Amino acid sequence: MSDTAGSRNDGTVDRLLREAGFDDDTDLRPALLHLRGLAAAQPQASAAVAALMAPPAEKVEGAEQAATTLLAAVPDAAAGPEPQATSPAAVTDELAARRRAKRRITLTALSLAASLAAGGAVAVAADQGIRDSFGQLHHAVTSFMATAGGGPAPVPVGTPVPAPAQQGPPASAPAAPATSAAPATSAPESGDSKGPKHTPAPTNPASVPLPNLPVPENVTPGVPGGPLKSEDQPATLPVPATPPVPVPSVHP
Amino acid sequence: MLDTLAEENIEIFADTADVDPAVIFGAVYRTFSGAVLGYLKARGVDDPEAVTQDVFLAFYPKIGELTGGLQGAKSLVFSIAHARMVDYYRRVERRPDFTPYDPLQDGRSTASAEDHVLGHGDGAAHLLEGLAEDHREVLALRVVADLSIEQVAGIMGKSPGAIKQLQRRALQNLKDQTLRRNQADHE
Repeated sequence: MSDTAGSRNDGTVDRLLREAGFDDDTDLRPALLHLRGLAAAQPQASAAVAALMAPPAEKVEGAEQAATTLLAAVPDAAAGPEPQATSPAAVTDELAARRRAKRRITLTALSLAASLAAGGAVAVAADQGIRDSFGQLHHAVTSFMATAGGGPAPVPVGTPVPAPAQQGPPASAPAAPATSAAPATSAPESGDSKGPKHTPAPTNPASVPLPNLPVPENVTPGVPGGPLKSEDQPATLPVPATPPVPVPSVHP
Repeated sequence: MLDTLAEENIEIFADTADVDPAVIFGAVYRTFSGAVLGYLKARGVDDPEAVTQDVFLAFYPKIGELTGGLQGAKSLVFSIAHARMVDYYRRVERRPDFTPYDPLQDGRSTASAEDHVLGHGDGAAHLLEGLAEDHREVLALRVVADLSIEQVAGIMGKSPGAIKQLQRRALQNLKDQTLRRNQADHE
């Protein structure tokens, strides 16, 4: 280290101390100069570095020597690239096989789900109870709409029944609505919901013995405004037919 | 000697386009290899000579992208050295210490009297021990590597103002530590 280098070190340390505000510090300056002395040693260049520093004429020989030295230290370097060249292809094939397997699993799951859904739909459609429930639902909706729409619609349902009910004494008056309402309520429970509202009337033959009634020939049972009203034929209806009707309503 | 080398190298770096990369590389090595070695010693890197060679071998492929003349080369060389030092400490953190006891490597042993008188040995490298990591780094880059505040800020990834503040605190801590050591030596 020459005097010039020493003065350079002094300049570096003094500038640093001045920047940090420790201009006249007598403790820091020797320590920093001591630290600065670490940069004085010049390391010897290794073979590889010396080959890179050589002039172009000598560089080829130096590079060859350095390369020879480096390759001598790694004798199996040439054998390495072959398995590395084959390994990426193997990895690619493996990844492609995994992707194909994933697609196959997805397609299998989708086809299985579709077939199960189709089978379930067929089974549901073939069930009689489901179809009956649909019929009942349709019946309930239809009756509700008819009730909400106006009074004339439910009248034909109870057309054969209210005639004897209104013929009876006042005590049997509440029984008439019960009998007239009976077909409407019993219709969903009967299970035979295929027919319209008129079909429940024959299901209660015990209360009204229709075959014994002397029905006039000019009377049409299904017409609400026909001559079969209670005001027109009060005496032709059999009286004994009324007692069985109030019995279920009186004795619960 | 360093100043003479610097004057020659400044002429080389005046026009790097027409200069052979080997010449530039040789000039950079002759100018900064000592500072790189001292920086790595001050930071406590094992085998600083070998790491110094690695630093310059990593510098050679980047000569074509070099800008800024000699100061640009200096910044680039110490950026590489800083990265190598950081890598070294990360590697040390991950590696368990299984070194058996060696009396010659015992840091509690007394230093050589000759080294103490001549000012050589590990005394200078141990000056920064006991300081915080940032304080060690800023003093090593400013004092040993002789970098400017802007260059240190670029290498450490901080602003110049932060480097000034860090440098001031590092010098204050170094002063306190030196006073304590001197006091302990006298006792």
